[in-house]
Amino acid sequence: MEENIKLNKKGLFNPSGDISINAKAIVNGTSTNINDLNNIKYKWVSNWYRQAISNFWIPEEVNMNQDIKDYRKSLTIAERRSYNKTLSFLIYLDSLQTLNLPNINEYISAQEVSFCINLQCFQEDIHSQSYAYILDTICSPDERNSIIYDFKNDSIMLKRYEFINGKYEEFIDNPNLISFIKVLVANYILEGLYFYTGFMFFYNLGRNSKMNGTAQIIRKVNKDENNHLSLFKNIILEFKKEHKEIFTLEVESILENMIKEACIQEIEWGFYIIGNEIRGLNIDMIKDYIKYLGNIRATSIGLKPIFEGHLKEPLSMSWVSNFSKDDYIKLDNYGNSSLYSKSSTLKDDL
Amino acid sequence: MNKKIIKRDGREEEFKDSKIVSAIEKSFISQNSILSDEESSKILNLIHEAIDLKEKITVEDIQDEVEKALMSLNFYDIAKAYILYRNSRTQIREYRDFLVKEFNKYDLRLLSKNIEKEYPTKEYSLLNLANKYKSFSLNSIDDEEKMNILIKSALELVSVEAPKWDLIAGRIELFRYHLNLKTRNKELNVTNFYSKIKYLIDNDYYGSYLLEKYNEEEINKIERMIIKSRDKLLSYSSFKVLKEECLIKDKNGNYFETPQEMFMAIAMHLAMNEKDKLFYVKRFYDVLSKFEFVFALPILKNARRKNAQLSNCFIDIMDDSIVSIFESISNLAKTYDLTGGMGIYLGKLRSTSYLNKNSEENVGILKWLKIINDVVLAINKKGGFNGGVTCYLDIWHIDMLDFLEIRKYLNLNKHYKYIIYPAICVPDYFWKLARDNINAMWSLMDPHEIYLKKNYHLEDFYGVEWENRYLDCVHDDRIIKKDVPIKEIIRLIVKNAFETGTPFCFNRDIANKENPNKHKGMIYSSNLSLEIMQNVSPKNFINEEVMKFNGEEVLIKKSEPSNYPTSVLGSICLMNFDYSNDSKLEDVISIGIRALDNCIDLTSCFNLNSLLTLKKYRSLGISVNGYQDVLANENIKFDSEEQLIFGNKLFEKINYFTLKASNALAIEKGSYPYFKGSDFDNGNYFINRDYLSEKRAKLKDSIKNKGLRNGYLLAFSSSRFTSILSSNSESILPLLSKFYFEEEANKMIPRVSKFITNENNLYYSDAFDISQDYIIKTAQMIYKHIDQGVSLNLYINNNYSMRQILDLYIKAYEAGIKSIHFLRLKEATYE
Repeated sequence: MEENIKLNKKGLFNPSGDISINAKAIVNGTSTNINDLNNIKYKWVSNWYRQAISNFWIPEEVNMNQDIKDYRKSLTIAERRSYNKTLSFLIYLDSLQTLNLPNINEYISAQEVSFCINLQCFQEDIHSQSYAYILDTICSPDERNSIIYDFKNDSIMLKRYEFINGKYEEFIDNPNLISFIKVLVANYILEGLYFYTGFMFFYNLGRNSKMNGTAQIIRKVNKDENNHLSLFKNIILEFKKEHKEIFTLEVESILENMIKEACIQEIEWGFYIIGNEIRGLNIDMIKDYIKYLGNIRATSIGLKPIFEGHLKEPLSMSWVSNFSKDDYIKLDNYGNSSLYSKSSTLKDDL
Repeated sequence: MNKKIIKRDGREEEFKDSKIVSAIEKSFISQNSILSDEESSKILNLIHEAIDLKEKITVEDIQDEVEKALMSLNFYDIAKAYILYRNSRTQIREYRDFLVKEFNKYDLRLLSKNIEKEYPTKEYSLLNLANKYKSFSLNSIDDEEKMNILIKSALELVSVEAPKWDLIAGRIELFRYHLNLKTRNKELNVTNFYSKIKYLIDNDYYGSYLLEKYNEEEINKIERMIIKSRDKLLSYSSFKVLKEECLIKDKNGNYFETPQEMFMAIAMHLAMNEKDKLFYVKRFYDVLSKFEFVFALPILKNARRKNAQLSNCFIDIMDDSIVSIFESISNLAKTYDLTGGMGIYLGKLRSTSYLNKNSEENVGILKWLKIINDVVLAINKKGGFNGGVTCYLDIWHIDMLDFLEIRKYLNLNKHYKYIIYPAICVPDYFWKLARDNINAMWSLMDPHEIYLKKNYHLEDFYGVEWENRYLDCVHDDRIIKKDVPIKEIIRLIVKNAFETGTPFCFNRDIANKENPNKHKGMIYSSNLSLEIMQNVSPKNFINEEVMKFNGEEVLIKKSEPSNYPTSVLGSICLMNFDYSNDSKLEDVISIGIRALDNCIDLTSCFNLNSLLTLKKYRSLGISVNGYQDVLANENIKFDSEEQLIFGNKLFEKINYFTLKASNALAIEKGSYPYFKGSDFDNGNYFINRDYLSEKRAKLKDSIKNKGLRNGYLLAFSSSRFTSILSSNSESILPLLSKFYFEEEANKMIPRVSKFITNENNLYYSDAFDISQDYIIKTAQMIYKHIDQGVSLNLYINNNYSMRQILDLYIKAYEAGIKSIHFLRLKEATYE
């Protein structure tokens, strides 16, 4: 059994490696480790990579002037508390991502996929930088620190951080094919669930005409996270094709339970940080939304839905997807559109 | 038997069998069965048995008895349907009651019933509104805040499936507005329209001319022409722009006018010099308040006020002297402050830095651009409409390369942000080279140096004449040149367009060849959004003199008037009347043109030069709105040949009726002063357009003999303001997307066509999804029927290559398109 679930770290140069495309694999491939991007096995990679590159943005593009006023004047006490804690949580999540993605990448033996993860890692850095930008603009230095290190005083927060962290450490301590799929799914949950409720909170402020600059930055982060989510979905699905034998009923139910547990925790977290104090949101809405997210995340990687019903976006939350789509927002005809892309990806065929 | 029934609100009504039967019938129909007469009398008998002994019964009692009767006659399915229906009604009633009880100051009872009556379908149920409201209404304090939340809730329900929530939100907002206005009228002792006008004149809001031209009796008559129910046409978005931009308010933000009163006061202003005043007041009011023909923002904002500035779309030339540059800057400041938009041509400016290599900073014309930009930044019109300044430079100007990059996304090393828009003026020759010989070299030169060495201004020519002189300069070794491969310039254009949507593109040769007034000058550049194309010329300053005025010394600045164009604008909103009815279309156009033409004589202007120009050309800019809605209504796809045929007929008619109306006005009131020698006069206008039918020949003769009132007529602007106000899709363009948000002053305003239905949904194409060839072909089709330009955007995604983007520009040139505004980009999202 031990041998069956063995997971090899990818090496450096492997002169005796196989040069055929078929030798490439998500993990345990036998290629030369030369970056051969002319012969790509995973076709989705090239589109994904181009898309991710052209999404490049920096937070300074967004004007935060109104947010400075809003933060002091328009936010209610409950809203400011949630704002701080949600931001704090996102800071934690992105920090964790930049640290953990390289751990996963150590085992990814398909170079093209490995490239994507590197790029994701870089984007997570930009996200961290944009939280710094937000804090820098709206807070004084002491407030800033109390937000970043909030977990030192907030035991509920700390517990949650440790739980998420634990899932990642399991893999570091004992890397094998089973713990690998578990860490992939843990990452997928982090991208597809934990981030999303945070985003949703900021969009809700935006829809109440508060902290629109933050919402704009979050929209950009969200767009990247959508991409990251699809990257890990693809990795999971390819991995599944290549290691069918791993996906026993038992493993699948472990994975489903992971998602379920994450949803339950997320709902509790929602109660803790949003509760019934925030205009535009209430506990039922949060519950419905998280259950719905849990279900689509599970089904899109081939697992069974986790919660009965909850297969469609709840009507009370349909505003979230409207607010999250960058492309749907037309600034004034003569405003600065955030839609414009970077011309570095433009194919020069003149 | 005179049985009384007690209704839910306590009122009593006579008991009628027919009402019960019709309710039961509905339940039968919902179960696909039919209620026979026999069955119906059986049920009625049972009900009567139960209630006949009582003298008064409640609605609920009767409904209970209906249920029982249905059950005892074994109509189980019908009974179930009846009960369910009854339940849902009860639920809706509960929600309505809930909403009504929420408010103290506002009584929503009647409003909510009316909304239910007018929007009976499920997607507009008040239940949805109440639910949304509840999630927002957390510890709301006062009625005003609750009202805001209610409106916000309605607005958030707007979707492609339920677009009319926008109208419902508008209804609620207007309900509040009217109620508050009533209180205010009392405070101000305003009892009728006449006393309101008087109050507004006394307090310096309205111009006193209104009472000089109309007496009390006439105003009372006019008041009776106001049709309040037209408020129902106002969506939340349209009322919002009226409130923010047009309705008069005092310094504390209190309003005076109802929207209908405002429309009427505008109509009174525009009709005040007509012989048959009241007739035209009514006509102008009708086209405006039904949004058949909507006047541009400055008219809606300023007509009826003192010193009403009614025109917009100003275009200036900055001539190559310090006096002229700063005269332009001063004009820009005034124009931008008052109208929010402007086009400036910079092609005459010399590039000092190129000749003087020492100056590193602010290279060449960039230093002037920076001053223009700083003026715009300093005035900072935030949230207004049409805000912006477009600067034009000829593509052979030596500073072109820097100019192209001013809006570059991450111009980090320059640390300066341009908010003005660059536009390039391109001759045919450039596009021909780009198409046939992309590796050729292009010479960038300094206009001042050309003048010094050649004694002519290259930019003063167009077409073949320009081409010959350009080549002459290129071959003249005395002139310093920066030679750049065409390919490099294209690369810069395409890259910047991809990243920033700019430069805009103005095809100068095409615009000048088609200029109907070329006998009086030439077109150097267009306006802010590239649809107005009229003669422009720099001003010549003569001197400054001291004169005596009332014994005091005054300074008089003298200059020769030049062409400094401005236009009076309005839009035909196709969806708000029966556009397929020719006589209606003609009527709307002729009334619209008459109103706009009156504006030319009524407008005041902060810039006398442009006022003189306006009176010489009597320029209009008539646009359309709602073309995409019309297409969907006709079940025609934007990207189809059918559309081109349909549009060709429609726009031909619009052109015909426009010229006919302007001709009729000329007969009544005289031609525009520069008519003689124009293409309208010599007939070239008709020949160039193959307008050869008998009907056209007649019109051509009539124009030749009796003239034309307006020297420029049709220009299709992007009309965002009139589009939002009339709820018609913007101009002739397809929708950006069936549903999108517009971000305005921290608020996300949903936009979706109010005419979209399940049936025509398919015919609303997203601009990004259709082949751009069809946008170009559509513009080409339209260009035949207009005399100025179309504010035309192209829509691409990030799968386009440089070559594909270049091809769009070349195709547009080949199709005779005079300008391209934004190149809009949609990022393909990765699935």
